[in-house]
Amino acid sequence: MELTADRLTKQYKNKIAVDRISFTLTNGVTGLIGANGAGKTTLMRLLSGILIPTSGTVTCDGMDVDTEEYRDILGYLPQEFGYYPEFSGRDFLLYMSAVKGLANPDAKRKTEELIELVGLKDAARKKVRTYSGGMKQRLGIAQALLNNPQVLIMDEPTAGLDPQERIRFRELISGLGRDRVVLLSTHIVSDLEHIADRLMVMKEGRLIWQGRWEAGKEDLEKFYISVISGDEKSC
Amino acid sequence: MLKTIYMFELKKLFFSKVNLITLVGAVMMLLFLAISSVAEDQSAFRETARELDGRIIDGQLFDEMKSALKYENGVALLQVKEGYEKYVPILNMIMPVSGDEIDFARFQGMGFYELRRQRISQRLEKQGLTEAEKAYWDSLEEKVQKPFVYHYHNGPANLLKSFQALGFFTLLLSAVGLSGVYAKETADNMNQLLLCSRYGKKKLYLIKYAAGMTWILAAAILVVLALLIPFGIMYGMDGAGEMLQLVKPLSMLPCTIGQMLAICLGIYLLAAVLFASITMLLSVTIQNSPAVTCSLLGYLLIDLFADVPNRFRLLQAVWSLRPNAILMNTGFVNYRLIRLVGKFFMNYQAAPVIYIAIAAAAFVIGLWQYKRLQVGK
Repeated sequence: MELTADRLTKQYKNKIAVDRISFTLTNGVTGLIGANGAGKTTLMRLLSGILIPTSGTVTCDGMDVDTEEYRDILGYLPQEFGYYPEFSGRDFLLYMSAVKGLANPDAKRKTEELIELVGLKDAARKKVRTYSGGMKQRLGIAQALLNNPQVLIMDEPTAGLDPQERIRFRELISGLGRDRVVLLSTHIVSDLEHIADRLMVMKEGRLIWQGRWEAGKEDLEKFYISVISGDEKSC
Repeated sequence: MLKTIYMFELKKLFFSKVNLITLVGAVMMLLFLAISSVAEDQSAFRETARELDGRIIDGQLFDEMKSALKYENGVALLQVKEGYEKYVPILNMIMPVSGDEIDFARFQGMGFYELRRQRISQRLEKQGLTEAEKAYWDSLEEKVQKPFVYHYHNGPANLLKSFQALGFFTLLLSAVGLSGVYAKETADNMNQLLLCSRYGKKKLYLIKYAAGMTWILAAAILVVLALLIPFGIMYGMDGAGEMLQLVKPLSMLPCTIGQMLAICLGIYLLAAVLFASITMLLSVTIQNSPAVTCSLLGYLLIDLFADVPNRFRLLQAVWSLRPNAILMNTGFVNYRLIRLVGKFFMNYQAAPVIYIAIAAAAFVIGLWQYKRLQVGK
């Protein structure tokens, strides 16, 4: 599976949020890091097909992102999103399963499986409005995995998770990255340590560094600061 | 899967607190309206109405009535005198023709019907109808049987008079209940998840539309029942087969009260569909639920208070086609006609076609808008 961005650009009135970015992602976990406002969220929206680029293209194994086929293999967790407060956690996942096109028996099985995986079994029947921030985030992670996506895009997935949940999440992502494209963004660089195979660094809408990352070889935080400050040769 | 999504969309609408409160509020208000109307209508008058059943409304009946009314300068005054109550149902019927001061001297023989014809002619002139339009109405008037024969009709008549209120309630229910169908997904940041899902684009639009229509039709039927049940229990529904002129004496439509009720019900349900489709179009276009509700409530106020003078013929013709205008009582005696392919159509004949066309256009434009939706645009 290959997710390719080619000279991807998104321009708002007076601001270029994403500036001629090109890359190809293959199976494995890619970390996208950058300061707030660097353009990470805009890039992820472009890759998810929910925002149309000003210029450039995104394809996945030759498929355009604005197709049902691509949406079939896509899992997306946005940075912030609402839930239907009157739905229970289980109802929310069943609803999202249906919107993602899962047939009823599969939807129920997958829902129960993911409820268990993200540790929401005891709260599955409770209304989402009673959930804590961390529980909502776990529910968000579960919905992104419902259709067993081959391309998984997660925007700040660890936001709101407590340290124990963060560790569990990292383990989950490491496992998922083996046979699919996983792109996750964060501005907390330590979240990527030990799980990211590749790194992409964004600054002011541009991709200033991308390449393989070997955990343990170098301190990620120091590396990131050197890239951002321009010590590291940009890509 | 699509059925599952539909059921969840219904759940969002029917379990929304705002929607429930608005619907229950509307039903309670209409129940109150129905019950208070029944309470005002004294039972003695209901009895006398039944006693008059089958009486021909002509000079002989008016002669009888003369003795039961007080007079001043030969004009009857509506003051209680012994035996007055017996004729209240007839007085209620003739007053739209005669005005408050009833001059029985003019009602000898078929005098009442001549006066009625004069009043109608005055209205036709006032509305600036062409000779061809007048001839069309004359041909219908010929089919209206005269003299009128009184029959008890309180139940269907009260229901007919209440349709105007129903139209406003339906617009309110649509404005509040459906303004968020698409807009709320944006406000709640749910579009990010939906628009990148398999059915999140075209099919979700269609399912949400279907759920919205289900909500408004269910709500519309419920508010009709809120009137129909108390009226049915208190008055009964007999009289539905009697001539419309017993309720609207200035109408030239040769139809029964029941037929007019069926027409009103049909227009009312189509109006609900029209309101819903416009609300959902605004919801997907404006993407702001409170703004959609406010726009529609603003329209509701204009609808209530704005009137177009007779001299603006075309504008008045268009304005008189709005649902609440047709459902209003005056709608039955609005003589404006629409000419299409050489034939004349009355408002209530043209309106359904226009409503369906507008609703279909709103649906297609909404779909086009929905497909262009982006997050973080």
